[in-house]
Amino acid sequence: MTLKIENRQLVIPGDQIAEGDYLLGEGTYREENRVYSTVLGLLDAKESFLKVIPLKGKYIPKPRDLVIGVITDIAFSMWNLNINSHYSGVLSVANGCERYIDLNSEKLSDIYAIGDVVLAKVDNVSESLVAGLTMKDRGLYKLNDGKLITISPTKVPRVIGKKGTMIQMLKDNTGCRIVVGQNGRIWISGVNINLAIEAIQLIEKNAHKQGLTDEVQKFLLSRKGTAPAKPVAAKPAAPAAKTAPVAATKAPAPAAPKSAPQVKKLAEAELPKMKGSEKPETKKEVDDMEVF
Amino acid sequence: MGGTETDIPLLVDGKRNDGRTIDQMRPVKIEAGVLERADGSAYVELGETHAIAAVYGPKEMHPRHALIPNKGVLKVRYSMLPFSVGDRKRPGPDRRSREIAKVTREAFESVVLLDKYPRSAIEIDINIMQADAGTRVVGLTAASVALADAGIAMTDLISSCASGKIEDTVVLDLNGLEDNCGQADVPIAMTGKGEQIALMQMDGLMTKEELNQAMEYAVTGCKELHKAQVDALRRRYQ
Repeated sequence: MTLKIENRQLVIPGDQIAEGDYLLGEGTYREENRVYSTVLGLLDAKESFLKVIPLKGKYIPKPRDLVIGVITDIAFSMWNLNINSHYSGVLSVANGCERYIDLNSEKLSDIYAIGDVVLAKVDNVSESLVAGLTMKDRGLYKLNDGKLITISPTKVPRVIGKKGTMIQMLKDNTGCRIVVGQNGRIWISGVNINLAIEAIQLIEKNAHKQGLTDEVQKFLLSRKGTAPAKPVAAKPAAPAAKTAPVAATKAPAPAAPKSAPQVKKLAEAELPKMKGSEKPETKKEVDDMEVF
Repeated sequence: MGGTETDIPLLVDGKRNDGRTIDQMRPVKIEAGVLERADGSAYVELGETHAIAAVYGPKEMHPRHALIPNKGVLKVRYSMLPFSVGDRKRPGPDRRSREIAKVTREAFESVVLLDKYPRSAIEIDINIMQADAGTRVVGLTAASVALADAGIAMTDLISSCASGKIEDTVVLDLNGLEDNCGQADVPIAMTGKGEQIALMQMDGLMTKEELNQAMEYAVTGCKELHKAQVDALRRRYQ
């Protein structure tokens, strides 16, 4: 059992990764006693388990994945969704939402219209390139009043970070609500949308590098002058403990007497636009979901 | 084959008309990820032969009746751009480019893990921007890098180069003049580990010994190209 390539290093299809009796995950194959890579990616070796994390590629849905879909069509009893994949997403009325939908008295387009963006979960994947979706779970809802961006689906794990550290830092430092779908779509809402997008693009560009969390943190701190921190009161209590180290390394709150009132105004302006699903009460629940 | 007659001596004291020795390849330049819009892409220069390859997919298979339920389909398009040759080439598919697309597809079918992409299509688009012999091997080399760049699963990269015969001597990597006036041309594609041959064609006549020699040269050429391919892919993520 010997590794031929150091952990976290770049591997190319056909590169020999190791020799010996390893357990193999995605992106690897065995030939006699040797283990090779099948994709361009980073080696992820954990004791006797080997896999390669791809650096590029299309999204292929897996059951229980959280995805952000766009409604493209409405049929008699289901919605068709674009889930940023060559698999098409199908959301049936039975799985459309928690409550019962009466087809005789309700129009499906009143629930989700074409063009609406929803957060859904993959329920099953059929061989005919159809992903059956469901929204019958807590924290699955229609996304209103935000910005939708798309990144390479292979880079989603870096945006989320280990145990959600990266995404939590992004939220803390930008004050935005961020929902990340496994299909590479990211929905952002809040005041500092542009800062959050810039940070996510930085992550996407440097996804193959190590020490990314520090780099992103540095970037966010350097932009602090123009980007005021999220008001402390809005933060749920539980994640606060988690992010304590981040707060400790933060420079003393940047003196931004000018920008602070401005933010408040903006935040107020946003409020009337908010719809039911974005009420603060639902927020905590949502926060739990999107970190996985 | 024999080819066209020429007054230029092809081989003088072991030196070829462009100054190379008989087992020397033209200078190689490979770049991965040159196109922003394609899922994967690569640009390859082998002397004066320049090719660009783009990969799209996996995506929905069209036409629908041609899909395979349990695995993916490779669609290869090879095309020489109108300005790639001296006399403007009429654009569009022809007998030659269809043949090259077919052999290229078959070469990649031996390494791409098509079982991973049921009912899908993977499109490979090879464009020859400048032709000076060996366009199919350069196209193959480029397409292989483009496939890896697109994140397509495959057991190995494919590198490809040609050997040939000029003035009754076996040489590596014919240039345009040698190709036109030489006696034989043997394009070969190999997997990166150098264990399998993914493509082999022969135009012209060779003895068994000459063919063995040609293979030997091509194997070293492919190894050199494989190194350049790996280097190009690594450079992309430096």
